[in-house]
Order: sequence, then structure tokens, then C-alpha cells
Amino acid sequence: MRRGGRGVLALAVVAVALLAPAAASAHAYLIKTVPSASTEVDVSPPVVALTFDEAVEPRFAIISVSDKNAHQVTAGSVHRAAGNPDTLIVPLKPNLPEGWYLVYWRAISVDGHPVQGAFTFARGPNAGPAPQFVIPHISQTATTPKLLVTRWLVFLSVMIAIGLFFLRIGIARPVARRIEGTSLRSISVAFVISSVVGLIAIPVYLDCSTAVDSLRSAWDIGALVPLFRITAFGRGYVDMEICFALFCVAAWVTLWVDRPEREHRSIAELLAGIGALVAAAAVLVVPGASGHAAQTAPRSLSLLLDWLHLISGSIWLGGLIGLIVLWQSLPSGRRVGALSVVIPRFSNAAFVSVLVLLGTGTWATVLHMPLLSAMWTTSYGQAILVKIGLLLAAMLLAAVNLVRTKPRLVAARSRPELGASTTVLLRRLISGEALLITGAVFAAATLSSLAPPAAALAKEGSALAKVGPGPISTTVHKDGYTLKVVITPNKAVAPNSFAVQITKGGAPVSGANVTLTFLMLDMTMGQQEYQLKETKPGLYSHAAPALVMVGHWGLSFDITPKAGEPLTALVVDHAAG
Amino acid sequence: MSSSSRTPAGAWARLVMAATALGAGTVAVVVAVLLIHAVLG
Repeated sequence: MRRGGRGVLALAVVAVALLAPAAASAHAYLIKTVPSASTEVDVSPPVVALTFDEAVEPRFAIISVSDKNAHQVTAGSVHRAAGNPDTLIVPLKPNLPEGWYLVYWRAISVDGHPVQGAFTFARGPNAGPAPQFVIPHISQTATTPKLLVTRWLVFLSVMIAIGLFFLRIGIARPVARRIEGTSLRSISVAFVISSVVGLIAIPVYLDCSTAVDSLRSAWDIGALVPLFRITAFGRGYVDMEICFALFCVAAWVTLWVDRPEREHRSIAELLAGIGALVAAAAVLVVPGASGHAAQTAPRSLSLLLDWLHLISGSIWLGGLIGLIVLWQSLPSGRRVGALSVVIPRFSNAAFVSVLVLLGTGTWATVLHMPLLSAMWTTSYGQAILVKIGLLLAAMLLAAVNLVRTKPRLVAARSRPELGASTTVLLRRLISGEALLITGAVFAAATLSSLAPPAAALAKEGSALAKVGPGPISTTVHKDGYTLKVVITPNKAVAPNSFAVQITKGGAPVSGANVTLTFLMLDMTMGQQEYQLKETKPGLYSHAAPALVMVGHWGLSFDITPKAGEPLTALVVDHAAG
Repeated sequence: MSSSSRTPAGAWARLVMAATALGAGTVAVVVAVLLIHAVLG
């Protein structure tokens, strides 16, 4: 019946996964600015207004406007435009002198990641040549060591608590009945400690993270608490604390009513156990719902994979920690007997968990990675590789336990001389396994703090050339056409000239319709499109501040000749500051 | 605990506690479902 129930639940979840809508973009992106980027205005603008594709919280946003000497010209704080929550406004000092100004902005996306960009405008009519501005550096603060460690603590404590509870209630329970004089109290105590650590770690992480995002001190708690539920990320972690607290209550009650000396559970034990297990399942939904999984298409499938990944990881890691605790607490005379009961049962659960962990992890990686090379070319991919390496090493130790230690423990029931050496080997292997998985959880905490590679990165493989940084003049060939691409000075946040000379058989191709699309490859943001004008026969150009941030850009030339088939030529450009 | 649970009052106390645990689990599931609903919205 229990299996049947699981099957129905799995079918329901899969049905929801298939019916749910696909994902939208992961990050807020800028769609309009006032003044327009790289334009000259003859009247001093009273404000700078930035319109995003979604509502952005002004308390987490920075808009810096500075002149060529890096002096701030803002005259107040950032606020929302009346009647338009998608637009942020910062007032400027009156009567700005003529010259060029740099606007640098930073906002927090719904998944908690900072997004940023910059553009310039000129106050005319005699603004002069545009200077090369130095872009202010505000790091991608989701990956500071303090935040990483607190995030790691959250993951570890929650996973260990849930795994310990599962071990105590589901796997180790028969030991107390079968091996006289043994107690499971040490596992219960370890569970209570890890649950208390988790209850403290979640709000501490939320506080530190909110402090970094809103550029306040982590001790400014009175100002930070009202900000907790402003972003989807913050709401997720508040919900996680609520769910985890409910799980702790249910689990503590379950341990209180549990009488492991009885073979069959009472109704009270069953009710409490079910309550605690569903609460644990609810807790492990939250990290995915407030992180990357909720922003990766198809979202329902990503959430399901993330949830199963966390459940299996919790059972494995928490179970190992529980076994170490049990090993230490058992008197040496009863150790072999007790472990020979627990280890075979845990091995089965861990084996299934490892399979689920492998399957869901692989599938989720495929969903997150737009192309294979992103595994080693992006920080996100590198963190996944480290995690895979650590988990594979842990699996190797688990395999040794499965094929060597487990049979020896079972054999030790009839051949006691095998017991002592086997339990020592077991403790070493389990300790190593737990240490490696703890490292893998750190890698998971790191990669979930990094922005995943943009889906647009998949286009990099079809690029005809990879160019930059610095001025470029490169020639590519496509469908019988020769394209000479020239970009100067090819610097981020500066006005750049983009030109393409199109020839076929040595003759210029005139009268074509040429569109140039800019796509940021390092993070998800909106694309810009410009029509190129023919300035000489076959030469099409445009000047624009299109490279609004440092990084890799996909420059897609969509060419429709007067006669002949249209063609698209993609060049990947690296723009430096 | 073991001896008190054998009395009717002890058994009722255990049942009430168990119902509390089940209620906590149910509320946790509702919170998670609302969160998923908001995310998939």
C-alpha cells in the first residue's frame, strides 16, 4: 500500500511537471533608460530613470551617476516611479555642466543574484568627446566567503538533520529491539543538535544575504527584517525557516512518542512519523523554489529534480553522520551486533539514494548547461565538476563498504573474530565518505550562489570567429559571402563603432538589409538590435553604446541581400573595460 | 514515559502530541505548495 501511495504521488508530480508552464528569464534586465544611452541632451535632465522588464526593489538597487572626474551628481535616493513599479528613478543635481556622464546601476533579481550594467549620456550642446570612464567595481556579492560559509552551514545542518531523523526512525530503529542494551539516544541527540543549528543558521544566512544585497550591516537587524520578504529569494528562506521549524516540532514529537523496543508502531507513532516526513519533504522543496531550479526551464521538472536530489543527498549524508555517532556511542561488546543490523539496511537506502542523486544531478546539469564546454569555461560549471569529483570519490568508498564491509559484518555474526577489524575499517570508510560529501555540499553551496550560464551561451558553438578584447578587424566567410567585421574601440560602456563590409566574389554587396543583434553570453539579459546603415557600397555601420558591460557578447549579423537567401553570421566578442 | 503511556491519560497525551506533529507536517506542506504556486504562478 505504501508503494502504491508513492506511485500515485510520483504520477501526480510528473503530471504537474508536464502541465506546468515553461520558464521565463532568470534575471531582471534593463529595457529603457532616460536619458537614452550615448545620446546628447541639451537640457540638464532632472532625473535618471531606468525601466526593467520586471518590478525591481529600490531598497536593493544602486544608481550611480558620475561625471568624468568620478564626482557623483545624484541629489537623492533611488525610488520607484509613481505608477510604474518597473521603473527606478534617481534625482540629479540641477543644471549639470556640459560634458559626459556615466550611469552605473545594480539591482537584485528575483533569484537573489545581483545584475548590473552601465551606460553614458552627454549634457550638451558642447559635451566634447566621450571620455573613457572607469566602471565602478561592485563584486558579485552572492559569493563572498561569509555568505558561502553560512549557506554551506544551512545546507549541511538541514540535510544532516533530515538524514539523521530518517536513520533514527526508518533504519536504525530495530537495533534497540534486536540487540539488548543498545540505545539510539546518541542519534536522537545528534538530530536535536543539527536541527537547532539549522534553525539558527537559516535566519543568520538570510540576514547576512539581505545585508549584502541592501548594502547594510548584518547587525542592522531592525532595518533588515522588513526587507526579508521583498525578494523571491528572501521569501523562500523565510518559508524554509517556517517549514524547518514545523519539521523540528514534528520530528521531536515523533522521537518522544517512539518506542523502538516494540516491533510494531502505534497509531500515535505512525501519525507523528508521517507528519515529520511530509514536513521534511516540504523543507527540501524550498531551496529549489527560491533558487536556480525555479528559474530553469522547464521549471516544474527542474524543481522536481532539485527536490529528489536534496532528499537523496540528505538520506546519504545524514545517515553517514548517524552511523559515525552510533559507532562512537555503542559499547565495543555490542558494536558488531548493532552495526550488523543497521549497515545492511542503510546500505540499501544509500544505494537507492546514490542512484537518485546521480540521475537527478546529471539531468539537472543538462538542463542548466547550455553547452558542454560551459562545464570548464564557466565558474558555475567548474563548481559542478568539483562536486562531481567529490561525489564520485565518496561513491568509491561507498562501493567498498557495499561489497566488502557489509558482507563481512553479516559474516561476523557467526565469526566474531572478523568483527573488530571490520568495524574499524567501516568507521574509516564512513568518515571519509561523510567528509567528501560535506565537501560536495560546499561545492553545491558555491554553485547555487553563482549565476548559471546564460542559455545564449549555446550559440557560442556556431560562432564564425571569436575576437577581442581591443579593436578588431576580422574576416569571416558564410554562404559564399565575405564579411569583414570592424569594431572600434571595442570597449564596454563606451560608444563603439560596428561595421561590416560585405562582398561576394570580390564585388561589394549593396542594398542589403543588415541588422546587428547584441546578446550577452555571460548572463541572461535582454538583447539589443540595431539597423546598420550603408555608408559606402557594401559597407554597413552603426555607432552605439551596445556593449553595456564587460564580458562576452554574441554579435549576430542578420543580412538580407537584395537578391539571394538571407544569412546570419555570429561573431563572439570579448569586450573589456 | 513508557509506564505513563500505558495509562489512558498517557495514551491520549501521546495521541494529541502525534496529532500536533501531523498538523505541523500538514502546515509545512501547505507553505511549500503555496511557495511552488507563487513560483510557477
